[in-house]
Amino acid sequence: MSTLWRWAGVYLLLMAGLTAFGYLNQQRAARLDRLQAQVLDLQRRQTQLTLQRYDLLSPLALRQWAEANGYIPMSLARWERKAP
Amino acid sequence: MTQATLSRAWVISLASLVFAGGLGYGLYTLYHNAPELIARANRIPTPPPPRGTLEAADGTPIATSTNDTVRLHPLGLSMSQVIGFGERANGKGLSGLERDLQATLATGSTVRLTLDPAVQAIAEQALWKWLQASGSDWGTALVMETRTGKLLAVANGPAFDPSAPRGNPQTNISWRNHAFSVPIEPGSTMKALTAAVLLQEGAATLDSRVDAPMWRKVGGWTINDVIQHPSVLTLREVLEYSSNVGISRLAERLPPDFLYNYMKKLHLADGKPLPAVTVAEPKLRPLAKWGAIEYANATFGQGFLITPLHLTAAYNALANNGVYLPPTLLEGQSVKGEPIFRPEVAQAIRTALGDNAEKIARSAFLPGYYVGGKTGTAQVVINGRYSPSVFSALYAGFIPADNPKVTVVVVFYHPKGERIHGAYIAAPVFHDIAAGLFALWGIPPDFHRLDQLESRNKTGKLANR
Repeated sequence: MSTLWRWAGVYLLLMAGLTAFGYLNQQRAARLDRLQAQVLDLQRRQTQLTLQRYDLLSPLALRQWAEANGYIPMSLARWERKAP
Repeated sequence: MTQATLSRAWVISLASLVFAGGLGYGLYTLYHNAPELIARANRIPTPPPPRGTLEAADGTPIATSTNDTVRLHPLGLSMSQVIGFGERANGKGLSGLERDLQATLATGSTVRLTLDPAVQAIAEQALWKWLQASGSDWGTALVMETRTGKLLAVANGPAFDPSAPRGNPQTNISWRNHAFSVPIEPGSTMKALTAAVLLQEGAATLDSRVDAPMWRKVGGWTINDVIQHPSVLTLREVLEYSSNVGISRLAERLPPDFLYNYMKKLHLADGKPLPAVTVAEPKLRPLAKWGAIEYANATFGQGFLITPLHLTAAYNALANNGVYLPPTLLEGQSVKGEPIFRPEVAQAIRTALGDNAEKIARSAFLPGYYVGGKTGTAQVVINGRYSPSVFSALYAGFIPADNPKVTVVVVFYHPKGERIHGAYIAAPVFHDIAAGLFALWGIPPDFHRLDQLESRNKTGKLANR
C-alpha cells in the first residue's frame, strides 16, 4: 500500500508542477495579449498622429494657411533694391 | 461466497493508466495553448500583407494601408483623382492608379510616383481657386518636367475627398482624373504646334505675312476670328492675335499630310502615351477623311480630340528643344526622346510666345520673369453639333520660356459667365502656378525686366488689351 501512496505523491507533485507551469503560461499569454493590444493601440495612435501631421503640415495645408494669413509667394513680393 | 477483492497489480495498473492519461492531457494542453511553442507558431496562418503604398516623389505616402485599415490618404484631397479609389471592404482598385496598379499593390509593394507634393499643391490651389471663380464644370492642370518628361503635378477639380461617402459617379464627377480620361479639342493652343510644323518644313518664318481678314469660307463653312486685328498678319502676329484665318491660310502652304504626320509624331493619336496608366484614346480622323475644312480646323485645334495629357506632352516637345519625351508618372521608368523639331524651331516658337506673353494673355504675365504660352478657347460638340454656349478654355505654356524647367497646361470645361476665354480663366492659373514655382525654386524676379516694365508703363507704351 505504501507503494501506492508513493506513486500518488509523485503524481500529485507532477500535477502540481504542471498546474503551476500552466498557470505561469496563462499569465504570460495574458501579458502577451495585453502587449499586443497595446502595440495595436500605439500603431493606431501613430496612424492618427501621422494623418494629423499631414493634415496640418502637408504642402496644400501650409499654402492654404499662408494664403489665409496674407503671405504671398516670393515671386510676387515687392523687392527692395540696395543702392549700387 | 467469495469476497470481491482488488489485486495489487490491478490497482497499480489503473493508477498508472490514470497517471499516464492525466500527463498526456497536460502535455496536450500545453502543446496547443502555450504561445511560445515553436510548433504552434508554425500553424498560425500568415495574414496577407497590407495593400501596397503609393508614395510621392519625395516619399510622402499618398495612399497607404495598415494591418487594421483598408486605405488611408495622408494628403487628403491632394492628388486624389490620380490615385483613385478602391472597394471599401478590401481596397481592390476601382479607379485611377489604384485600379491600374492593382496587381502590384495587392502584393504589398510600394510604388513611387513622380508627383511632387509641393508642385501639386501649387497647381491644385491655383486650379481650385479659378475653377470656383469661373463656374466651370471641371478643370485640370498638369505640370511636366521638361528635361525628363516626369509629371510633377496632375491637378483636378472639383476637389475629391477619397475618404468621404461617394455620390453617384455619373452625376458627381469630382472623382474623375480629367487630365487623363477626358479627350477635348485643344483649340488655339494647337496653333503653336502648327506654327512649329510650318517653321520646321521651311514653309514659313515668324515674319511670313499672310492676308487675314476677320473671316473666310472653307468648303462651305465659315472660319471666324475673335480678336480684332490688322488685315495682314505675320505668323508671329497670328499667334499673338490667335487668328484662325491666318493660321489656316499659312498652313495651306503645306499638304495636309504634313500636319497629320507631325500630329502622329507628337503622339496626338497615341492611345497609350503613359506607360502602365490608362489614358483615354484620342479621336483623330484618318487622313483619308480630311477635306479642306477638316485640315483648316485641325490647324487651330478643332475637329479632333486629345486629353490634356496629350497636349502637355506635345507642348513639352517645344519646351525640350524639339525632342518629344513620353510622359511618366511612375518613378524608375526610362524614356527615350524622339526628335520632332529642330532646336531653333522650338526656340523660335517659345520666343514668339514669351516675347508676346503679355499681349497673348495679360493675366498669364508675371512681371520680372520670362514666361509664355498660348491660349485656347475651343467649341465643344454637344449632341453632334458645336454648342453655342459650351466651351473649353485652355492655356499651355512654359516656365520659364527661354530655358523651360516645366511645361504647364490648364484646361477648364464649360466655364460660365461673360469671361469664358482661356486668356481670362486658364491663363491666371498658369500665372499662379508660375508664381508658386519660382518661389519654390527660390528664383527672384529679374530687376532688369522689372525696370524695363516700369519705364514702359511710365511712357504709356503698354497696350491695354
